[in-house]
Amino acid sequence: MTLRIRKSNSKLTFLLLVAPALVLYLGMIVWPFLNMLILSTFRWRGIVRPKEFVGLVNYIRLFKDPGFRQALGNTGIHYLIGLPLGILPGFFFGYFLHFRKPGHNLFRIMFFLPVMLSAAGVSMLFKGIFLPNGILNTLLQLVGSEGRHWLADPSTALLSIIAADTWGSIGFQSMFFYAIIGSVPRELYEAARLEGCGHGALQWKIVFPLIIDSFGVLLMMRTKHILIGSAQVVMLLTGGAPKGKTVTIGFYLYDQAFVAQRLGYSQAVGVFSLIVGLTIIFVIRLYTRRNDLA
Amino acid sequence: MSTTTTLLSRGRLKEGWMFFTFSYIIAIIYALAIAIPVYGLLTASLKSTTEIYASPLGFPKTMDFTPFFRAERAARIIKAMGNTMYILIGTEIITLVAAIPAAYAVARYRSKLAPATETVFSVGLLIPFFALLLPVYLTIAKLGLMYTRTSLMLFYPATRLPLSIIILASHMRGIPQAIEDSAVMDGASRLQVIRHVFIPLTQSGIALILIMNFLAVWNEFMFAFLILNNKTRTVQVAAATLLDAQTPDFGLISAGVIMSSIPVILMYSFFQNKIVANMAEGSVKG
Repeated sequence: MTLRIRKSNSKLTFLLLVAPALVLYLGMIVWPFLNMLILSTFRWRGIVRPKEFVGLVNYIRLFKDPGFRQALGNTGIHYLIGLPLGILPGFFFGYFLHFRKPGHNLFRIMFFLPVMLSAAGVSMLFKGIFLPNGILNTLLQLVGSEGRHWLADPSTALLSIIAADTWGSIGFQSMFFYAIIGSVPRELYEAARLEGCGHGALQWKIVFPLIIDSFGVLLMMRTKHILIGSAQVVMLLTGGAPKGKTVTIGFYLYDQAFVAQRLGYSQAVGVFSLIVGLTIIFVIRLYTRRNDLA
Repeated sequence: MSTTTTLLSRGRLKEGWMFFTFSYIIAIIYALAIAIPVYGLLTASLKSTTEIYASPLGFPKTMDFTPFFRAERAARIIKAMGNTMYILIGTEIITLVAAIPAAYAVARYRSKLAPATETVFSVGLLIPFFALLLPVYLTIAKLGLMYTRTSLMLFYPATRLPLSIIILASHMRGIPQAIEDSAVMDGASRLQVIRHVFIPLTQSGIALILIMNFLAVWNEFMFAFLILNNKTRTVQVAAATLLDAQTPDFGLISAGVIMSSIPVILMYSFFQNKIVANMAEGSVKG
């Protein structure tokens, strides 16, 4: 009897202790998440308009919507270029810097500069880089090449967005790998090095398996960011122009909800991209999780 | 024997030499790709518009600080910094008040509820909060908090809770049970134990959370952009309005970027190593 009282009492204290966190989290994250699923089954054209339940119609519409297909394609290109373009140099620089060769401190300071800018700050800087009379065209003129209007030209607009989004992330990822590789005990790979193992093999056959967990974490962070979070860069640099060439899924979600006022449909876009994102994250975790690490 | 060693070490040296030359070359290329735009940004904020137009990468002929004054006049950046600070302080307090007891409960209770609760919060790390734009907007509207700074003082802590609770709980698990037991024997209540034992012993974790929240809140753009208005807008939103002009003025934009980044730059210059190392470590645990 006493035992049971103490037990229920401890359950009550537990709930009291987690209550503030749980209330905030349920109200601001879990409920909006569930609401997103609910809203995706409604036809809802504007906040003050009535909602009409339509089941899965919004999801069927996704596959017939050329705008969505374009956004999906653009995001695919962004992902396939942006992911390796950030992570491979990041891993390479992290490995190089951890040897602490002359100048490594200067490189670390330089590589860290873009990390200190916010997403909005980076977008603003790249506006200046890509202006017709901006930094990039001035440099190109120095080497005698013709400049162009990077953000307005359909053939370079998406690449410009990818460049703006990847530019600083290489620095962040270098610092990330620098920290992770520095925390690996040196003895674990010093022997291989003394036996004449080259840098390529050392980096990929010895160091990589040791830090594969962190590699996976970074892949997941980048996946989350590229699939949905990078929409801010699009919004501030091009607003999806020219001709939808720079519309990514994240931006399409924002655009359908707040500009086109297709509220229900926009949430189907959101749910779809979440499912894709979580599937990719799950696969990454499956392949990069080491079981021997507690 | 001696010849094979020499051969091996010579081969190694040769490859090492090639590797480092290659590394230096691409590191310098990337460093230039950072240095040139940053140089352009810094100098543009000191030049007149005509001077930027004539030579975007030239060194400023005179130190002209007017872009900063023009940026402030156009975007009211300093007032917006005040809004950001206000939201930031609220976010820091609410995050800690909610996360510390929850982390204690998760770390110390042997009931099945503890791992279940931790899982519920861990799942939050997987969700890109950006996807919740519309439903969060609607929730805030329903609470009657549209355009208010209070709305973000509730939403930002909620987004910071998963990582905060996981970091704090892992710090708290390292505190020996005996210390807690002796405090309880002396008649301390749960809250007293948290306050006098756990908070002092998890200071480094708390500091890390405060710093990471600072960076996240200071730099957040999208939710602040949608939810706040001209009076309550944060520094990122205010600075970004400088992009709105028909013909973008890079001097003005640069001044805005620099002004809005100063606190973050100061923060990083004090804590850079700690932040990145812990981010790396913390994210692996999560």
